[in-house]
Amino acid sequence: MKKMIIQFEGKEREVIVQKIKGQLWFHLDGVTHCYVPKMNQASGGQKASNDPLKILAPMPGKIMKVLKNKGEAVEEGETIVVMEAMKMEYNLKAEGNLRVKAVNVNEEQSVSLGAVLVELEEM
Amino acid sequence: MAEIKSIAIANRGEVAVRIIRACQELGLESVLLHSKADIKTRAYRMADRTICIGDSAVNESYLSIEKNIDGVLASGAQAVHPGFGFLSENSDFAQALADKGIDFIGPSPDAIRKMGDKIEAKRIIEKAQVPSVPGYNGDDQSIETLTQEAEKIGYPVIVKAAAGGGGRGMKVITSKKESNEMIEAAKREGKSAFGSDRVFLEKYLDRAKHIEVQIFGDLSGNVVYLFDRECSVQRRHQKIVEEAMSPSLSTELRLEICESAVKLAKEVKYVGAGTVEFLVQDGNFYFLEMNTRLQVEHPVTELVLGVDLVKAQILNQMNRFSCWDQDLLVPRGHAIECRLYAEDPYTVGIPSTGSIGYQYWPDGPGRRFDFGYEQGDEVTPFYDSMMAKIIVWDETRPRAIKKMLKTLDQTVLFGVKSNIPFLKKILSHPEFIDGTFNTQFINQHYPQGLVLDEEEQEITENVGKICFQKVSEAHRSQGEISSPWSQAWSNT
Repeated sequence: MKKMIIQFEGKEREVIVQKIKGQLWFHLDGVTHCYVPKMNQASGGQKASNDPLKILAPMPGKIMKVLKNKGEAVEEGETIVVMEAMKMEYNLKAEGNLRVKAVNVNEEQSVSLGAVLVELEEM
Repeated sequence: MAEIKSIAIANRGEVAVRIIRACQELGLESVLLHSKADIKTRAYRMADRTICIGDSAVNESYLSIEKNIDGVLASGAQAVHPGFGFLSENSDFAQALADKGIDFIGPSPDAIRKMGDKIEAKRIIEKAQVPSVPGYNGDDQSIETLTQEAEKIGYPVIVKAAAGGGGRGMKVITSKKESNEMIEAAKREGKSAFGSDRVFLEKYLDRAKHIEVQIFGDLSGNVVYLFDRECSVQRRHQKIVEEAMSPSLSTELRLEICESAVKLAKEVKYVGAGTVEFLVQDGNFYFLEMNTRLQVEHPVTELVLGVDLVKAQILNQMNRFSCWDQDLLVPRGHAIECRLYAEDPYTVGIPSTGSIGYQYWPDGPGRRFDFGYEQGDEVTPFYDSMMAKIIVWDETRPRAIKKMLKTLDQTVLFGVKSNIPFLKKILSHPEFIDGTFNTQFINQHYPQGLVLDEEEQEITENVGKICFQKVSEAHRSQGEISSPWSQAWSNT
């Protein structure tokens, strides 16, 4: 951690900064930011994918239940996979009216962040 | 009963730290019973002694009665403090300790059993004439019966794991269509978190406030109330912001609720610290559940009353406690607690894990920080994502809100994302400020959590780029000076 003075919007500003694993964390005006330089931005990322055809694990955890099988149709908003992480259950839902193309996980299986759990296809 | 000289702590994180502090001040030895994952934590460093009782997964350590008992016996401690969560409301654990002649710091196994089984608890409250919410608590646990009963009560209906708590194993059913799915989910969560898939149903009050009463019972049958806390800011039934006292109770209603809580506690001959939770809607109150343990949010009560609940628990167990006189318990000012969760606030609260690069707690008058991790410690995915609590006290509620906002602004946490931006939004919301918020607050106003602010994102990019360059340059120039002193300098 270090404090530094930077020039921003024509003013001198004090920022607290720290580089952690290729990310730059900084605290400015009461807000903590985490800056990821373009070259380090991994595809997929921390949050669920924007691709409605892939259900990704939004966090490391355990698969509690897979509610749909290969070939089954799913409605928008319908739960496909139930995951448990940090002692809470999360329902991973379909983002459109789609069909299950492949199920890549089993119940009770532990998965890592970003793992592709279920693949979907257009009907 | 052997004289207590040493206390084993069957818990982790910030509450373990809280208990260790109480032991230190009472001149007692503390022994931390911990999992393999928790070696790099603050409690581990602070405890007088530590015993590793098992692997990181909770079933292999913190939730295992056998491993905890083995740890206690190996430690030679005369008493166990269970904290909250884990085995704190497990009567089998309390009983197993009693059988070995070890004190469980809390109520009797019988009182835990009665109040811990939410169905049994409902029978008791009827006896104590405390009002409750209409529902179904029958022995027939088939999905068919439960679905029918839900229909009878009328949606929305809430389904809860009988052995549950902390928001786990609880689901709201809003229509017949969801009924099966939600009941099954509650059963599964109950089974995985508490080892029992028994559930019960209740009418879901859709604009109720969550108000709870802190009570304390001494060994001679005295029970006092330590007033109320409001915990209506909840997400998925997990509390986020709590305060003492509630900004929305009339003096009469407050007295009525507090006295009900005491009546209930006396019914089960309650000993130690406990909390009776109520839902309050349209001037009526309904019993929700009793938590037979210390609560996460106990500090707000401590701050408005000037008491130390953890030391009181321990002293009571040692039979060295003289209970507070009810008339002398007079709340003063206002206290607010914010729970810091390790999560990305912009993704509906998905947990964030990693190692803490830097943290700064901006202390000052009326500010308290209960935390379990320090710089270099790892937030792992094995446990609840609550990292720390920030608690503030001030003379009035508006001042306490302002103090909390300032404190959150000045708190720095690098390496793991936290819900601080979300907390600030909540505390600045007009409904929070005027006190009219209810348990639907988060659902109504932040169903998707926080939405990324474009302006803020721009700052992240622009300032991030500038700082990144500066830091990288500094690293490079340090590398070029290969004097024998460079290593020493960079450490300062």
